[in-house]
Amino acid sequence: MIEINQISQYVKEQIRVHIGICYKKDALDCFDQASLIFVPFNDIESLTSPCIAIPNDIKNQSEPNDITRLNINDTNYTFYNKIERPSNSWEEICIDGVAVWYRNNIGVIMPAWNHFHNIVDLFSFRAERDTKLRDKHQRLNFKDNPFLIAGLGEVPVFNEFINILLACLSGKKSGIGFFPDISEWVRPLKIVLSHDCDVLLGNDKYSQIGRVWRGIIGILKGNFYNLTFPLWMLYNFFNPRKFYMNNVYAMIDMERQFGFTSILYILNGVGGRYGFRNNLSAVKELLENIPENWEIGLHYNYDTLLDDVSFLRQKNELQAIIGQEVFLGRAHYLKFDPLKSYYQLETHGIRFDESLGMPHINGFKVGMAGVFYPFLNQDKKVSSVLTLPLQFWDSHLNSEAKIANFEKSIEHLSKIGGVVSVLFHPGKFYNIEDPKMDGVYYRVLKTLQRVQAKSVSPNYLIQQASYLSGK
Amino acid sequence: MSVIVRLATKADSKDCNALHNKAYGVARNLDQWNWTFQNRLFPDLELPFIVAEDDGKIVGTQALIPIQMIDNDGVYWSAKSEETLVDINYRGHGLFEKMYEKAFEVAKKSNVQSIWGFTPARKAFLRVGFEIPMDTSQLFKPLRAKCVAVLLSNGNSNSESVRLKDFFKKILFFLVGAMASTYSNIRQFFTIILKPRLEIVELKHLSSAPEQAKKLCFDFIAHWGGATIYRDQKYLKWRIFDNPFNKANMIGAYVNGELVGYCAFSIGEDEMGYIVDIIVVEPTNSDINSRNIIHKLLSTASSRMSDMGACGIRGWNMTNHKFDKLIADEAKKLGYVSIDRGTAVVLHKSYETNDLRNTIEFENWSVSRIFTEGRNG
Repeated sequence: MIEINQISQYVKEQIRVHIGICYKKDALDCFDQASLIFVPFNDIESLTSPCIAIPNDIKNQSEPNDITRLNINDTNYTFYNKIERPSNSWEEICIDGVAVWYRNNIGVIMPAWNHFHNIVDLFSFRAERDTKLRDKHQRLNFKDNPFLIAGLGEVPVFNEFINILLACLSGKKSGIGFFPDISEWVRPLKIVLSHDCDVLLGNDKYSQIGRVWRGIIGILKGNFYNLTFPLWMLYNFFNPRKFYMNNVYAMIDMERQFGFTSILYILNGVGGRYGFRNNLSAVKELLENIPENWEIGLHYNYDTLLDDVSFLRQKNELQAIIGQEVFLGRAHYLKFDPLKSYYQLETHGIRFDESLGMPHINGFKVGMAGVFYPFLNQDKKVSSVLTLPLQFWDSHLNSEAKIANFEKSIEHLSKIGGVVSVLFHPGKFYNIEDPKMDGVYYRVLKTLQRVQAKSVSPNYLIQQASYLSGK
Repeated sequence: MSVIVRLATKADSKDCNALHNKAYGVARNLDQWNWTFQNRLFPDLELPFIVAEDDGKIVGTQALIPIQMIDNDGVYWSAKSEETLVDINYRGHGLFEKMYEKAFEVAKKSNVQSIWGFTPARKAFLRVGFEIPMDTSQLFKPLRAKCVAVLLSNGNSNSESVRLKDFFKKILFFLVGAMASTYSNIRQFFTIILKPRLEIVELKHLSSAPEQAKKLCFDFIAHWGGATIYRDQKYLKWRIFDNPFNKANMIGAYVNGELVGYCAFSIGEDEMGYIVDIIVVEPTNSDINSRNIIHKLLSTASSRMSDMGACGIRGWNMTNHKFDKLIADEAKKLGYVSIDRGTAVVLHKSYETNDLRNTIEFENWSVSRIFTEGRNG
């Protein structure tokens, strides 16, 4: 019982953090003043006064069930894992004949979907807990994650639930039904742009070998553009910063045009095919020229996963260069174990992390565009590392269809509120070897400008989340 | 049809913006509308925006954007003609003339010395008394093979019969672009390696409008003569740093700690770069001259736009102003070419005003892309 109450408190806190950051004060006040309780399903019938009661003891199966999409006020919402009505005396509050809420004659309202355990499963990494399968970079593969296989990674289900919940609270307060339009409450979309600075000079041996390899593969695949590789090998040999380090400055110039800022996650430490490919002088050169409002974070090197010695060595090396503490980071290759890595990050002073992303697709790995404190199931405790899942990155913005999907997601999120994380690597921003990416970052920023998104810093998010969760 | 012509109020902003968005098929938002037409540079003129209204529906718009100019006699008010629009169903009924009657009243009342703008609608503006001193023309630096296609893009025809023609056109543009960019890059390469590095000129990014802007502008006119937009700190804050469309990057040139010039540049749609503005004065107590500073600013801006992925760079160059001629000269050494392709410059300064002063002929204005409405920075 203590445990379920503790988890309920945790879920309520994460909801409050999200509302406080993504919605205006009126929404937060409405949430704070609402009689919203988390109770075991069997206790709901015995409630004697009107409230919103969210059942907190219905466990989900590992595979999501009853996935349903509904359109409310011109916005699409996705629901899954249905809860049966407690009894026939409960009224169904429906959209298009599908129940979203149940209400009894006392005025107790409960969701018709198991939002509580949907959130708990996502924020405590149920998919990772349920299987030990991992890919060669020790990440849970897309095909082994039932949530993603079901297509739910394409939608921010958490953000949608909060929007539906707030609409219900607003409607209940003002007596205008369950689904009023609450767009006035939604703050402009917040964005965190970032760049993983893996390769700063394009003349390292791994990059040069990679060009030869792509040239050979190009012949086999009929992609003859890759045959131009000797030109680029030569070009970067004489001008190693072009398309790499220069692109970092160029992205900053472009961000300034839109009034945005970004985070540079710096890779340093041990070298190798998957490791740090340049020398430290390149990192120093880059960092000397980074303007004031652009943040520096640690790009956890490939060898640092659960290795405290190499993690600390890398972090100390970067801190020595910039002369201040580094408290934000993302894992190189997204090589990250959400069940164990948070302990390591906490130990070494990382307070903001963006490693929760999907290597093979853009979307919402834990069903959210926002920040949350992960729930560490092993010890039943809440991590102190504020986490912003990575949703969109360059490798999955390389076609018109993918850019269109990005634009659609941003449009959707601007209606329901959220914090969006976008990653662009320097080598992908503008590189003559990858002409498909020409102008893509500009389009990404233009899309964000169109919805009047605002750039926010990790510090702002940490402060807000800390204040809202009472930590 | 009982159309009334009146000054707009803030309550009209949504409808005025909608008319514009419908006419041009764009999605300008209200923040952008407010920034453009309520720049608050002119304290007494809240909204110099004229609308034609038929039965509560906005069917025509004509805006004046108050802009201060400077010449050797000092600073004076002018206005930029903007947002000239008449609903297609209301054309041919003299609405444009009626809106301009009102605009001239506003100009007289506010002692605006001239109204100027850039437009393809030559006849309409000539009819209401404007002159056309020249057409805009530009400097263009090809950076990549696709630059010519982008520069000349006018939308593709869907007709089957022209597909083959379009295909050959594309090939031709690509080849011309490839040759032009090769020439341009080689010319820039040799110019840069042959020039001394000019360490004494220090370039710094400007993250806000510099306080010294006013002095720079006065020094500019004192040295180069002619007339130009008066770019004080307030103006630059509005035009560059608060621009909700595209905030151009701005680099300042310093000699011995003194701001002696700046260059504003940006990248816009279609991967085209723009030299938005450049101002340089002759440094005092230094061996460096303004030509050296222009070179350093232009070559740095060009390299940075190239790194941003620009396929070409455009800048305006049209008048006989001494400084503009010098810019063109230095730009050509960096591989820029002149292109006479643009729209009409329209200028009116003979309407009745309360306190008429002499103003400089347009051919002696120093004109950069800062004279545009600012969508590309």
